[in-house]
This record gives sequence, C-alpha cells and structure tokens, in this order.
Amino acid sequence: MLKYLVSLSFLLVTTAQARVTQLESLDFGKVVIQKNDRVSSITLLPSNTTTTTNDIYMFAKGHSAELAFEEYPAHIQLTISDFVNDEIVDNVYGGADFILNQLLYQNIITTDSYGSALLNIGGQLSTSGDSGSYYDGYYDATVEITINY
Amino acid sequence: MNRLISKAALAVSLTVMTSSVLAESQTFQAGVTVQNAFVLTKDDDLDFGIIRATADLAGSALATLVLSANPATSPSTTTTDATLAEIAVLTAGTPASFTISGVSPFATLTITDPTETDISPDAAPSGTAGFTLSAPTYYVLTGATPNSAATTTIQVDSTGEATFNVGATLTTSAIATTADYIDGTYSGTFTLQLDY
Repeated sequence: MLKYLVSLSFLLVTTAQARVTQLESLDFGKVVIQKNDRVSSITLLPSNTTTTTNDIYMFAKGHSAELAFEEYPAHIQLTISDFVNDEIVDNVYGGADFILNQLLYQNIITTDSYGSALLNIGGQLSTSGDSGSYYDGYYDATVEITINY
Repeated sequence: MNRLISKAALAVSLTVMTSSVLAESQTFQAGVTVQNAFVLTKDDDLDFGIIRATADLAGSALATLVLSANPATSPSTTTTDATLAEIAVLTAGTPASFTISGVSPFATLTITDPTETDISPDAAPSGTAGFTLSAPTYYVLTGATPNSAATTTIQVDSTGEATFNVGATLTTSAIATTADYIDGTYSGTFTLQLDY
C-alpha cells in the first residue's frame, strides 16, 4: 500500500506545471509629445501612479503589467530579474522611438498556500530628445523577465 | 521494515529534486500610444453683418469696423476722415466660432494669429474697393477659463475640449482704387493655427 502512495505522490509532483500568465500588459497610456528637443519621461509605478517630466502630457493613464504566477510550490520566494536597459520601443511607421529605461517591480515575491502570486510591473519610458517627430500611433516592445526559485 | 525505509528514502529524494533552484523566463508587452493630433472645428464663419461703407479712392483715409469676439460686446466703428471713408453698421454680425476637441485634459494651446487678409468683392468690376481683415481677438466660451478673453493661448477643460470665438477688425481699402464699394458680398479666407 505504501508503494502505491509513494508512486502517486511522485506523479503529482511531476505533473504540476508552474506557469506565468500575463493578465495585463505594461501600458504607459496615451500621451502627447509637445516637443522633443529634450528628453522627457513617464514613470509608471507598479501601483499605477504615473508621473511625467518636461514635455510629455498624459492624455489617458495607462496601467502596470500584471503577471499571475500559478502552480509554484507553496510559500516559496520567487526572485524576479530582467535585462531591460534602455530598450527601444518603436512603432511600424517610423519616426522617433521611445526608450524603456527600466522596469520597476518588487524583486522578491512569495507564493501563497496554493503556490500562487501576483506581480505588478511598471517602468520608466523616455523620449529620444533629439527633436525627432513622434507619429500618432501605438509604440511597443517585448520585454522579458526571469523568475528564479 | 527494510522495504519501508527504502520507500521513505525514495520519497525524500524526490522532494530534494523539486526544491532545487529553477529559473524560468516570461515575456510581456510594454507599450504607449501617442496622440499628438487634435480636432479644431469651425462652427461658424466670421460675419461682419450688413454695413454701409465708403472708401477713400486715394486709399489714405481709413474706416474700421471692430467686431468683438465677445458676443456681448457691440460692434464699433472709427474713421480717420468721415468725409472720405466711413462704415456704418446696418445689421450687426457675429464672430467666428470654433471647437477644440481631442486634446489632453487641461492642456494649453498656443494661438498663431491669422495674417492680414484681403476681403474682396465676390462679384464686382476690377478696381472696386475691397477691405482688409486684421487684429484678430479671441474669447473663450467654454474650457478651463470660460467666458474670458484670450490673447495667445487657450486652455482646454478636463474633457480636453474648449469653444471660442474669433473677432477681428475690418478696414476700408488702404490702396488707391477706381470704384467705391458696390452692393454685394465680400469675402476672404484666413487660417487660424493652434499648437500644443
């Protein structure tokens, strides 16, 4: 009987697949670039608080990314890291690019008793500051984080 | 008993394996939308009304009609020499009106004044006197500062909208002409520019 119990336990451990689901993308909102002869920036905190500098005006606020961690071991720490460092955020029509300077998030989160956790990720986005024109439209980039546990 | 210990050892071994350090990566999108364009709509043309006008054919004496952007202000006239050039208002006109929309909340837009514009007869013989339009004025009806005069800027409200009037001064011909004003309509086109 004990043999069967041990076998069943092994099966459960190996089929539990840790997964991360993107509930929300990182959206800096809708902005107006009044001029681009100096660097302006938007800082979006994980709490969704937004601040701007210089010549960016918020038209509509955005929101931080929200990632759901599921099927992880219960009550463990997940260490989050990334390699974002002045990553280009562009659009398909050309013109000036934005620069994603950094991501902002809590580096260590702890899973609950179900092995789940939520992580909000904000960031800092800057204009090029080179007097280039920004066309109306959507600018985006794909960013990657690493989860260690 | 030995078999039981063996099974227990297997279970411990499995536990150690699942608690080793693992790393995974996850990608997601980061984006921003730029909307620099906004909408400026002309609701009504600038109409100086119906007037009686006399031009100095030499173009030296001038008469003016000031149509205020403030709808509560009556039009006013002046002349440098009433015997030579004069404007009298028969039916008062109305200022031009514009609507701004699609602007970020409480943004301030800068006004670029229209250049001096010729107001010419729509149908008249060559040499007939015309007018010039100049000195535009602005009056904000709705926006961040409703019911107030504006000079160089207009600030929109929390919805990113504003409405405003444009008045101007109509002046009799300052150049020599061969014929005084004839009855009919006189018109011209001017460009108003607003920028963030």
